[in-house]
Amino acid sequence: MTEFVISTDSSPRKKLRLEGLTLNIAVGLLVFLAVFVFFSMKAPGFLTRINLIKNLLMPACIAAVISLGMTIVMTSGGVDLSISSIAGLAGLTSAAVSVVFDVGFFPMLVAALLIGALIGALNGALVAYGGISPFVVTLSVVFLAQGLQYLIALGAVSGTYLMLPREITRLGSQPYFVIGISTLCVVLLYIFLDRTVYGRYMRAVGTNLEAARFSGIRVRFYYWLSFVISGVLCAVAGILLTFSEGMSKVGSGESFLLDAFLLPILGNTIFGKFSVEGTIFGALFMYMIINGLFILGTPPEYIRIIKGGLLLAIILVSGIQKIRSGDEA
Amino acid sequence: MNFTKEFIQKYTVFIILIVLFVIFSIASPTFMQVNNLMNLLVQSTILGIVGFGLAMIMIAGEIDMAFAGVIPFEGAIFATLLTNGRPFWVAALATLAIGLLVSYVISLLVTRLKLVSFVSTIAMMFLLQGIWYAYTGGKNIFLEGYFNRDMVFGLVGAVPRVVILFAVIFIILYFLTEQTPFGLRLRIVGEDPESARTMGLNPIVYKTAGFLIGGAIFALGAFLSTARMSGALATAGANMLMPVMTAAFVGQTVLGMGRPNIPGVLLAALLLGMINNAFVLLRLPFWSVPIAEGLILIIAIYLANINKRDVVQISM
Amino acid sequence: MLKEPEVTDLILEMKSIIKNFPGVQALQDVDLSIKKGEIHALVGQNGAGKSTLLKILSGFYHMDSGKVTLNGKDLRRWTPQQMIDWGVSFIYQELNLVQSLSVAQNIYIGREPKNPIGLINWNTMRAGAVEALARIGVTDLDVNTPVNQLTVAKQQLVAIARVLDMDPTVLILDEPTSRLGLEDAERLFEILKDMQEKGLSIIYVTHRLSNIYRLSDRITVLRDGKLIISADTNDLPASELVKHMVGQEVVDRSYGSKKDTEKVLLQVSGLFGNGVNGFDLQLHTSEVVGLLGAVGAGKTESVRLIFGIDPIDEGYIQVCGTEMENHTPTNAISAGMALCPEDRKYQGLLLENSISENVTLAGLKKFATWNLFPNKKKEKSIVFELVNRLRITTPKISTHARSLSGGNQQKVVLAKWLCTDSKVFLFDEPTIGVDVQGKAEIYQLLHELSDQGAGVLFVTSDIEEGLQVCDRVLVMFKGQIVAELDPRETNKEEASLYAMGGSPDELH
Repeated sequence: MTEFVISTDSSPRKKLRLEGLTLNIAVGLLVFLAVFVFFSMKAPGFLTRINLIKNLLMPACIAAVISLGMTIVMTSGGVDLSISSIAGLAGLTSAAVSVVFDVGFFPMLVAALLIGALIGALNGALVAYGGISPFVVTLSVVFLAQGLQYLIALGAVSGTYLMLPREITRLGSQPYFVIGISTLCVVLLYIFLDRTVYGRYMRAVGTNLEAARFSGIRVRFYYWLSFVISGVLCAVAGILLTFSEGMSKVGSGESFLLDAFLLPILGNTIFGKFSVEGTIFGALFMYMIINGLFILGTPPEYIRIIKGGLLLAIILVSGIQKIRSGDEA
Repeated sequence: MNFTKEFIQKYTVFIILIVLFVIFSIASPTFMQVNNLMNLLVQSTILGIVGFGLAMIMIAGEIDMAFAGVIPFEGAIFATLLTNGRPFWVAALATLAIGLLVSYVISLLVTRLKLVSFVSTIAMMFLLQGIWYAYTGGKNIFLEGYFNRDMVFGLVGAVPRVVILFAVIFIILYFLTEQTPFGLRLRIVGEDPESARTMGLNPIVYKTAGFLIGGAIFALGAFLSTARMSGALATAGANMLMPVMTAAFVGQTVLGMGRPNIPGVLLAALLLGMINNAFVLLRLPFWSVPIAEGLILIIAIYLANINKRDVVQISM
Repeated sequence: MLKEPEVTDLILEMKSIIKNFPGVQALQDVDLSIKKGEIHALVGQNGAGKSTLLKILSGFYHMDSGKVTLNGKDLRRWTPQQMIDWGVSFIYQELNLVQSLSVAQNIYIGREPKNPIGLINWNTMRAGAVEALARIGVTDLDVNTPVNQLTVAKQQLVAIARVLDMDPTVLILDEPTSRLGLEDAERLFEILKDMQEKGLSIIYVTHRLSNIYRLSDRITVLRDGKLIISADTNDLPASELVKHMVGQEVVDRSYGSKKDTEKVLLQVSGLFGNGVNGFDLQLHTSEVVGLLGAVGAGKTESVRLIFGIDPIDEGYIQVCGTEMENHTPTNAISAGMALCPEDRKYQGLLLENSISENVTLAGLKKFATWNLFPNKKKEKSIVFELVNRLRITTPKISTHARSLSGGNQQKVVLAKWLCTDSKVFLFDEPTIGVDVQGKAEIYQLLHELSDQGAGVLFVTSDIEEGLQVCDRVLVMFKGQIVAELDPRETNKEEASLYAMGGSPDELH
């Protein structure tokens, strides 16, 4: 085997950096564990199977899938404000398709994924090839998606609520359905980002667009692709939401916009980069806290405050970290 | 008139505005009536004023999403104070104070801690929405009997007072941003902070000023919104977020300026108000309004960027 | 030859300036004295210390020790704004104008004329701008034009008008003619001479002989952070000037040797674009060709055009037999080109990623099963092999690239390309910020590459290095190749002369 020369560049700053990162993860895991233990002891019924699965994991899964969409877009350097609108639209479309054409599970699935992919492709095209700020593009898509939601809902049932057939609802309320599909998404996305050539390229685009370009990566394409994948993931989340609630209405999914910002950024602060594992960690952590506090009797209004405060605290922390580790001129 | 690509890029949205105006006048006989036009103006007022606030911040080179959280909260404070018997000026001052405080905190986060204004104001927005919810329990606070709507919406001749206010604010802000050294420097700080520094301007001072002025205007918007509905509504903020952002962004291109500006926001607000108004008159389905607004936003932004080549990424 | 200026003559005197950075002595005991009303050329090669000295003067850096006297007053510490208020103004290459504003507005930023209510008086501003421009002899410019619609030459005039309108006593210009054509440069010279007559003292930093000998009254030469000589221009002919700039010749041609030219790997004909005015090159197998020239001569611009980063106005490029049509970096790489860019940290590497990820970035598909899943074992072994072969010092291949030294970072960039099937290697300033041992290792690696049949284009502004390492050398000036030299038959002076726009007759 080949051997190495020990680095003469053992600058103290480097050591601190590596230690800083694993320190973050260690602290994050410790805090997670501590909170879990705390709730197990203090919150009656927390540790039960029903609570953990139905009240913690299920909402966490849906939030996680949507946040994964935002994660992949952030990984390539963009942002997507339209994720909850896409989720809502996709869910609504699948419900509409079922109501109007009386079809089963698979066509519903296909319809939703198609819509998600198309809108994602539109977002991506305007951002990556049109050179327009992703912020503005996805903002306008929110508008369009809202309008389309109304259009579809009214067109399908001349009302704003769409009810799903009973078999679908039964399927959807099975926690294993939601958890299973979410896990599938997590695994697929992890493999994509971490273990494929395309995932590496996409991450390179987000890390340093110019260096990626200088290394021959087609940066615009991968930027575009991240929006498409995000659209598809949002569509999946929309389906999960719709199926688990047994119905879809205009505006479903809006509440997840906050999560979609919070979770990837939380993951980034703890794990050092936008990543699938970071977002999942964030989702479990966040929903564990919400679930535990809810059992302990915290009024639901405070959830928003907690989330908003947490987001602010996280960006403050990462901002301070950046200043401490020194700016590269 | 020369129809070069540049002309098209600059004035398309303005042309759309005029064309739509003509179409609506023809399509609906009530459109051009004084009553309706006044109605249109009133509807555009709150949108326009809040848009002015956002434009001030954008001119300074930052963005503020928190207004969607501040405004309902300010409205709730204002309404609560009034219904608790406090005099009007106390309620007004409190509203203003809260607005300035929030804006100052945001300016600190952005200028001292160097946080990106996009994400930090989103965080503030959620935080404020949460605080509002805790404060009001998610309920509307009504002002019937505690507040005389006429103060704002009464008529002076044929014109509602609020429209006059709109005009006055427009004139003040227009001169401030386009005709004073402060306005010029604010713009420089927003567009090219590096050159600003070399020329002896301190970006921190100007950005803070931008946020504070914006915050004060948002407080005014909160007051007007509460007055219009005779109560602080739960939906005030969320309903405002998209239209105000649209007005601010479309305002960049509608007069061909290619930068955030006050007159542009005025026209954009009128455009959006006109669409809302006409669509109702013409009995078009209500979902067509967001679609139309979204399309206009996309067109305006696309045109504004038609010559750009580089890809835009957002840093968190 | 050396005449000590009389004390009362001086408007500015910098004495015994010492400035150290961690590990580097940037300035050792440097003096600079400027007489009232003179044009003083500050000359030296890259890294000689000119910009450090000026940054100290401007207040951007603080000197470690030394004395600065302005108009008879000793100065302690000062901020950049103070220096401007005291009458010392700088015009940099970046110009620092606000692009979207008009000429008039740019001239008056910070001191806008107001009417009694506090509103800007546009008429006064416009009139004042016209006057400011007229004062430097510019009468054909519409002051309402947005600056971004003006040519660089005109923008420079606006920058000068702004600065001069604030009545400075000393004006410092950094390489102002680098982006100007002949006529515009002439105009600039006239303006400067005119200002000089009106009492302005000027410090002029330049690499161009023509500028030095047309304009300056005195010259100061810096080299390696030391003052070499300060003399009247008339007493210092070009040949001596270059000798002072270039110093002792260390004759070391240990690497380059005239190779048998075989196939043409890279053919570039008639390349125009982005400041490059006609560039031709034929790079053969097993050749190391140097591209020399001062900063701004067009070397990096040419390389960027060749690699497909910037669009070409005109020109023909052929790589390993393939003509480049849709010219992008992706296609250049598929055709067999590799680029180690000028900014190795931000263009060549992903600093936050591991060495391993950086090395495999360009050639990833080669060790991926089904072109999709990178085989981690294969990756590891290839990276190990390269790290050893290139002697990159690091304890682990998972270390972030950020923590490596300059030399090791450069090697990682090179390793990246060794994972691809590149035959043409473009190196842009590969040894900047690299220590002596690292440099030697990089030269060695370059020649190993060429020994194995690759063609190497080596861009550097260090003439000595270029002559030392390359088989043959091209010198660029103002976007064109002005000389092709054989390192064994030329020397630093001749090459420097060409790089400064001179011709061989001036040498003797």
